[in-house]
Amino acid sequence: MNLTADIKQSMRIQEKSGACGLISTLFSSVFWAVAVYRYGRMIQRLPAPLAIPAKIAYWTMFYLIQSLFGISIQLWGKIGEGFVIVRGGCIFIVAESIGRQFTVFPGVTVGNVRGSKRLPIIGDNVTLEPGVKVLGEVNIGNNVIVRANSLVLSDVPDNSVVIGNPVKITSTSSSVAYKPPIPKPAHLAPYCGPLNDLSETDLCKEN
Amino acid sequence: MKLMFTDIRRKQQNYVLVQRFFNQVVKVLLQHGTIAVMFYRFGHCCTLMPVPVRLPFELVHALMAPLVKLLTGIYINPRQTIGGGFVIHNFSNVHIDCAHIGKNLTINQGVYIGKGALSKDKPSIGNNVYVGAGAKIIGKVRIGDNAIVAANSCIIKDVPDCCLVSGVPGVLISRTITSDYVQRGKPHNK
Repeated sequence: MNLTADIKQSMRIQEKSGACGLISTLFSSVFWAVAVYRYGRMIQRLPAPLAIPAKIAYWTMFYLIQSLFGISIQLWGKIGEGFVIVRGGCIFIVAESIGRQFTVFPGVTVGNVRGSKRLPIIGDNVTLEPGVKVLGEVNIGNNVIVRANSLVLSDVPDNSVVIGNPVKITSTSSSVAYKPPIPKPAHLAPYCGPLNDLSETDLCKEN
Repeated sequence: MKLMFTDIRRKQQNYVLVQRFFNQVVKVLLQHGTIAVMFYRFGHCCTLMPVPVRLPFELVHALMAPLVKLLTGIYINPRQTIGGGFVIHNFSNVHIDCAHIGKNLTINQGVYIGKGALSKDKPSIGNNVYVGAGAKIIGKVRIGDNAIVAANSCIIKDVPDCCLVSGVPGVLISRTITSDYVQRGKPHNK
């Protein structure tokens, strides 16, 4: 299940281990936000009579998480397994699709600007450092690290480290050293690439 | 505990515009930043105590920490050492996790000081530093004395003493600081 992978990845990134680390992960506000997002994705396909109480519960929890912790993860796009939020606060995420092992620091916004046709598409193994804004029709490749406070308005190629406002590429290899890429299973659809490859039904089918 | 009163006294002396009793005592003590700083001093005292004494205090600290984080949105790791005269102006989205912080640090809202994605080391900060709103200081970075980090900048390299840095990534803008912020830090240096 996705949530188990989230817990494992969260403990790996925050360097926690053992039962104590597991408990502190489970009781952190950021994990609850991820769990509520996963729950919301899970109940999307339910038949009508079951869906109404489940959705009421979801929206209550979503509103509480939003108002108490300042974390808002919308249900629009799929986020792959291993989704980690390192410390909460001022986080807003809505994207077409996000790959696996997506790491988010406080103050990150992923969303649209006025007039853009679609939302950002983000690949596998992407880390957004504190204060990063990813806006509009943007493709971010695999194994990318976006340094703090930068503004991403254009496409970012694979295996790069970018910084600036707007972003410039500083390195094309060092992000691989930080998190080794994991071979992608064959049954998963490609997350990156033009939207035409993924029809609307494909996006909905996942999860 | 003495450091806590230094913190509050610096805020009262330098950051209160109208010197009245109500402004100086009630308003300053009820500010979110002051609450978070007082709570950090309490937590840091707990970590310095011998083990059998500190267990009940640490329990109280662990129970109160999520409440303070909820109320103020400020996280300060209690295991780091911060010098006297530590002032947080505004609240929300502040994360401070340093190796070492000197005296008279001033911090605004949205500041992130701590580990980044590329390095697991923590930054260290000198005396009389002013960090503007939304600035991020990331990785193994040393920030010198009397430095000013401008608002919304990102520091990933060392900053020398007495200079002003700004931008993403941070660029040195001037070496002669005549800023009001540093002047205000001076009375406690003597």
